[in-house]
Amino acid sequence: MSEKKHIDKLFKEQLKNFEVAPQDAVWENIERELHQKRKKRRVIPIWWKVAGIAAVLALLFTVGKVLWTNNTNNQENLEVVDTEKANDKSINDLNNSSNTSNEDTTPEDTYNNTVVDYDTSEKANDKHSENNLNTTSEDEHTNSSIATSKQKKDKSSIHPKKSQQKEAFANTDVQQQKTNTKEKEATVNTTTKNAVTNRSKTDEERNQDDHQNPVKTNKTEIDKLIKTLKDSETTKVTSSDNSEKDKVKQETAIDSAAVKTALTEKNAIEKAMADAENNEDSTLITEAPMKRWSVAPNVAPVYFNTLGKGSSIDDQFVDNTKEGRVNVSYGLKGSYAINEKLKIRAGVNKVDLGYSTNNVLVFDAAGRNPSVSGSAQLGNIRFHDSLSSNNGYVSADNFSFATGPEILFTKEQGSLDQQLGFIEVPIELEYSIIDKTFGLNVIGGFSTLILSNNEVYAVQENGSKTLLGEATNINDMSYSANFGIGVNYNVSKQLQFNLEPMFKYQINTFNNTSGDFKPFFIGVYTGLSFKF
Amino acid sequence: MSLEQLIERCKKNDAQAQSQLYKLYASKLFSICLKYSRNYAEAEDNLQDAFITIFKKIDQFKNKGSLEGWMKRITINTALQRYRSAGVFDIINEDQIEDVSVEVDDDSISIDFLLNIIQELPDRYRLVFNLYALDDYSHKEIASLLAISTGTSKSNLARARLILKDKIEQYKARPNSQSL
Repeated sequence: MSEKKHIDKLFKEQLKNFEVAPQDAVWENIERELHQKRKKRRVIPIWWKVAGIAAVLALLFTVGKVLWTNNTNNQENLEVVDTEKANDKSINDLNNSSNTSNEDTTPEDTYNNTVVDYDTSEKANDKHSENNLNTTSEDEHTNSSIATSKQKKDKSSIHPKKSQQKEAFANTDVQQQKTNTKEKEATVNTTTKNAVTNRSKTDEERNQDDHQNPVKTNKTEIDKLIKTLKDSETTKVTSSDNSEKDKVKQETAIDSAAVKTALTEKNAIEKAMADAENNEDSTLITEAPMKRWSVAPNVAPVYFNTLGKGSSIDDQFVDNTKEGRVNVSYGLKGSYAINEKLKIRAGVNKVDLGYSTNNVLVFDAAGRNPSVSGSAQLGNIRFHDSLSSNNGYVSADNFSFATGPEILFTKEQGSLDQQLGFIEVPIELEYSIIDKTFGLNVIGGFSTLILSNNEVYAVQENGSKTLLGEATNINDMSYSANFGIGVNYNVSKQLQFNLEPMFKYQINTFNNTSGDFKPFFIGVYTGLSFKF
Repeated sequence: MSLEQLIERCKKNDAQAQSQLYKLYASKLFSICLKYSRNYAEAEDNLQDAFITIFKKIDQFKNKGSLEGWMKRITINTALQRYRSAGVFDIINEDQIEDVSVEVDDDSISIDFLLNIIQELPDRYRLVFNLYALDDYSHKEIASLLAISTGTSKSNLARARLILKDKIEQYKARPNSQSL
């Protein structure tokens, strides 16, 4: 028989050195969970990297695109300039050629040269006719003689024959004549210029011109042209004598046509040029870059909730029902169209989020030791200093007490209302699927969320609301992955109405949650975008 | 490696240090978990949760007081968290009983048996008895921790004691035990 002992003492003494080693599995679980946590932490830098890359890409796209667009504009300008330059060039070439001929100082000289080149037998004839006679085949003697008597214009028709030029050449003549008509100088000169490639031709013509000009100083261009017409007609007539009738006919016809066109087109070409310029202008306008930039103020009802079971407030609320709250988000976004299909956009939104944890029992816990209550209270809430925390908050779902019905005597049954405010900076890509009056886009991107408001309220059944304090487990900066569909209606070219249901999955908003707390929010963003 | 160094390394999430800290204290803390829990499995869950909290919050440990005391408090809190529930400060349905002195024969009773009967106690009686009798919490502290009144705490303690006494006496009344 042993002596009586206070039961507390018995237990205390017996259990004093009581130690039991737990199974290894416990540590493995702990290690795994800690490892997971670490992995989760690593989400941040990865996300930063992704965000960084996206931002850099966006920047490159924007800058690159802007530069490229400028370049194309320049190119377009250059093209215009080029054509002029090309004209200038041809003119320059012509001038050069004339210069080269001028280098020979006198027309005769060049003439001589040609003669040397083509007609080695005869030299230094001042008269074109002779030259022509020499240069042309004997069959063409008659023609050329007529031509001489009438004027050198015949030769121009004969030239192609001489040089064995074909229609292509004639065409080039026509073309060149066109360009020449632009100039106020005599068409004859221009034909000479045209013949840069064909030395004999140019030389001869030049000589002709040189001859002609002093002879027919009084004659106007038009007169000359009329003459050329006549001449060409005569050539036609005489061409029957030619052994190469067809050719001559053809070519003279072409030439005469060219001359005719030269006549008629002198003005017409100017018109055409003007038209062309206008066209160029108009094409410039039509090709002018689409309105790439747009600005859109938007507003959205946003609904916040969690995907998994969990609580951001305390372990005990993991299984409590959560009720998402509908708040308002508003902001401004700008977008830039990378191409017709793809837009990159960024903006700033003010977004308020909130949810309530239901089935929370509020009870009076007066007399508790405040030093202990901190840890015994809601895990992730720092209570407002001014709040005398005489109340306790517990989950009604977690009743596991078997102590009796007294637990049902709760002071209040209500909910905990967590409210968060963020400044949201979304960067998103918008891909257009349908681009008509009604448009359809898919949108993807991410947002940076900067915490701006953080409050937890206790809401009693009668609706009275008490500010408890703020959550301690919310990161100042967090992110969300965004997906959505955009529907838009083009009110006018500048104005577009947008409707975008967006799903935003929040990443690392909370750093210490209980259970499977996966916060997200859904917003239906509506707004008007102005393109410019 | 000193304990301070170990703590410092744990603050830096050093996996090796964490493992070492666990090895040092797991047995001690697990015994607490066993006392505060209904059964072995629950105790293991508690220990796991407690250590995770310890590693997460070790950077908040300011070297004031002993690390062991701090860890014990976290372990107890973790256990309480599981059962923390509403109470009323005025017990209406349960008659509050006086704190009576309960004495039992000081026979050597196996720890396993004592642990068993503690675990068999209703949750709150078990918690109150553990806190008061084994871990030296005051009724005031217990009231605060469990969100009950001190009166309830006292009453719960008294009832726990009576239940335990009954169980011990029943145990001793068994033919087996009497022959011992």
